[in-house]
Amino acid sequence: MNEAKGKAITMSILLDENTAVVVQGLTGAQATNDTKFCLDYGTKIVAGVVPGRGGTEAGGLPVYDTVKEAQSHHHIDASVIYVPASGARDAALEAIEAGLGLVVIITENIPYHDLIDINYYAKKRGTVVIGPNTNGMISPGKAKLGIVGNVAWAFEPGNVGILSRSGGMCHDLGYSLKRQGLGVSTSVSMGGDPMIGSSFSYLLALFEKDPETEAVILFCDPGPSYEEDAADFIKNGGFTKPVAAFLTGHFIESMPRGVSFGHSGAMVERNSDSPSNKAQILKDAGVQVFEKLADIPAYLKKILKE
Amino acid sequence: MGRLTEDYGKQLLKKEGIKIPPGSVACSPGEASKAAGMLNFPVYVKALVPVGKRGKAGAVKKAANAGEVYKAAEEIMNNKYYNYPVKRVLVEEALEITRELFASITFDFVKRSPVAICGSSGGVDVEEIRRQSPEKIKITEIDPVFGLNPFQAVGIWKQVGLQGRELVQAAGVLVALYRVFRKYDAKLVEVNPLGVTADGDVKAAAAVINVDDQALFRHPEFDGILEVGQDRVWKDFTELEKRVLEANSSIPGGCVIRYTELDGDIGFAVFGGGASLTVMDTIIKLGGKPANYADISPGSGAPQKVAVLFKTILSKPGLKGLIVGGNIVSASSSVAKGSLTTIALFKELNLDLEKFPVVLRVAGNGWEEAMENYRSLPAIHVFGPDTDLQELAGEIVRLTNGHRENKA
Repeated sequence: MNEAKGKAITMSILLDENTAVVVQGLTGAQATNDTKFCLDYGTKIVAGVVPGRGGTEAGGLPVYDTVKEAQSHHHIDASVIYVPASGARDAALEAIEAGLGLVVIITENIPYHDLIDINYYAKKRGTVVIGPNTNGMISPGKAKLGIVGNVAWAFEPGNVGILSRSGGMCHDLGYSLKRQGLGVSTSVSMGGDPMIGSSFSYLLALFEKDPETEAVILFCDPGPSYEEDAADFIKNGGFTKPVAAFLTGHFIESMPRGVSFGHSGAMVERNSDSPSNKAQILKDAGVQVFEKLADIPAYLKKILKE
Repeated sequence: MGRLTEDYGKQLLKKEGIKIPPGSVACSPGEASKAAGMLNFPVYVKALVPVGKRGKAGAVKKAANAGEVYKAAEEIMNNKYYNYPVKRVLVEEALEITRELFASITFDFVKRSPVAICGSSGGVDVEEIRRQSPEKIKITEIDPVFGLNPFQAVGIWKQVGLQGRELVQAAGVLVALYRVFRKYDAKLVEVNPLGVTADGDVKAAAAVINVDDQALFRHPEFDGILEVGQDRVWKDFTELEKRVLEANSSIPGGCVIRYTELDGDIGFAVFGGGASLTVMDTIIKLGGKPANYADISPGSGAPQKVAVLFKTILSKPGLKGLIVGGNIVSASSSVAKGSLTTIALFKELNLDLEKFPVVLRVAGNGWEEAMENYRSLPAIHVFGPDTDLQELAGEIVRLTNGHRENKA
């Protein structure tokens, strides 16, 4: 019971030109701006949900009071949430309860106890949650959600997946691939908070099933060790394609413990959270760890030829 | 992070039925010795500051009579602990503890679950024990809907080695700690030590409660008690840091500017989580010394706040150069517009760009126009999206003559 009603999530992992999306919190400034870019890009955004504004229109899209109401008029597969932090749990639970297969939470500063609840119910329903505090995700040439890809020329469609908790780096990585004649199948900004909806291993499992993805880049920040979890997953055969990783924030290891740089998730509290520790764990799992960003596309080019 | 002082923490625990030592709060040495008069000696006098490791810092003193209490309170209140002045002290009875336990509730972020951490070696650094003898610490995941039920808490403490009356009492405490954790949006609720006393009771000798300050909007009970952003205790704020903190709160708008002064001479204005960390790493690896770290969270009020941030970065004495940049990303205003603001600022500051190299990357939508604009500052070193972040870092190090490649 409780299978996600949205479409099967395998191709162009999670999001492609056929994924029908509802925007929760459509009338906010950032939502309005991003939605315009997303529609221009080709994302199939069909409606917005803003309680109290049902029956109106925003940016050419119909607005409804609830996700269920939107579903009575449109087929919907996914939601992107821009609702402020105090209402984000409610919006996310609504999307999960409605059976959507994918929920991308752009909002940041959501209380941790709300994230616990959101992740609990998402797991129960089989919903994929990306975020919170995410730039979004993009399957180049097909669709995008969030602010990622507003700089559309940074990405070329192709067969390398990108996973990063740092959203901005997705563009730089995408662009560096493009300059070497490579492209991106799907790039996911996993979110900058310490607790995120989908771990590296969860998303690697999706990339494993995606015939279009032939390799994946992991961009790793200091903080909770999702990398350790990814390394175990890879070691146990969960992901068999080549992986290139880059770890950032080495200088934090020489700062006092518990100091936060960058986003809140990038605090080094325990040994397992430090970049050098993570680098070793990933290497032991067969991941190619790079110190120069510029070396990554060259490596992938070589290995994808073989 | 919103860390409650021990008195508030203990009051929350008491409300949930957890036994705490008798005590009260005093705002002066005189009040302290008076308060001690209502208690059984010996007592502890503890600084009420929202930081840990007070014992090691001398902020917790034992006293055998009212005179000693006065002296202890006076000493403590004349000091600062981890940069916090002491305005209040807690005077409480020293418990006769026969056995010290450890109990806390916190998050395992990777498992996305609350966890209970229990052990039989209270009173010491738990991280140490976890490293040296992990078998002494019992970590249990808690289902957020099922909760932490008494039967589970009994099972946990039994594994830690408790039995009889203390087993049941400790279980009650653990269940109550979890209730506090959920009810008050805490990130951490920790009792170390949780003391088994001579009379067989289990009491909280200490209480640490860190509230998730993102949730303060729904906890009016903490108004005036907790401030957002209490996590900067690792060193004194410098003058320049204070300037930015000031501007951040006084200029209206949702944009947040952050500045951390470091020991170096390369001004740092690279924004974006991954980008800034990567550029910092590269500068340091190549032998350069960043003068600061900085960050901007987007929001309204950005132009004024960013101007303050740049001016602050540039006013640190001894700077040899400046690096400005970020990821290829489009915020709501275009890169081209941003370039005009930056150029105006540099002109206003009258930087001698020949002697003071500025390396700058423009890389979002409108970057070509931005580059055109920068022609009005011919001595500036502008780069586009084709130059990656590490190459950019290399440029500023080279230009400031700090280049020393690590061949590792």
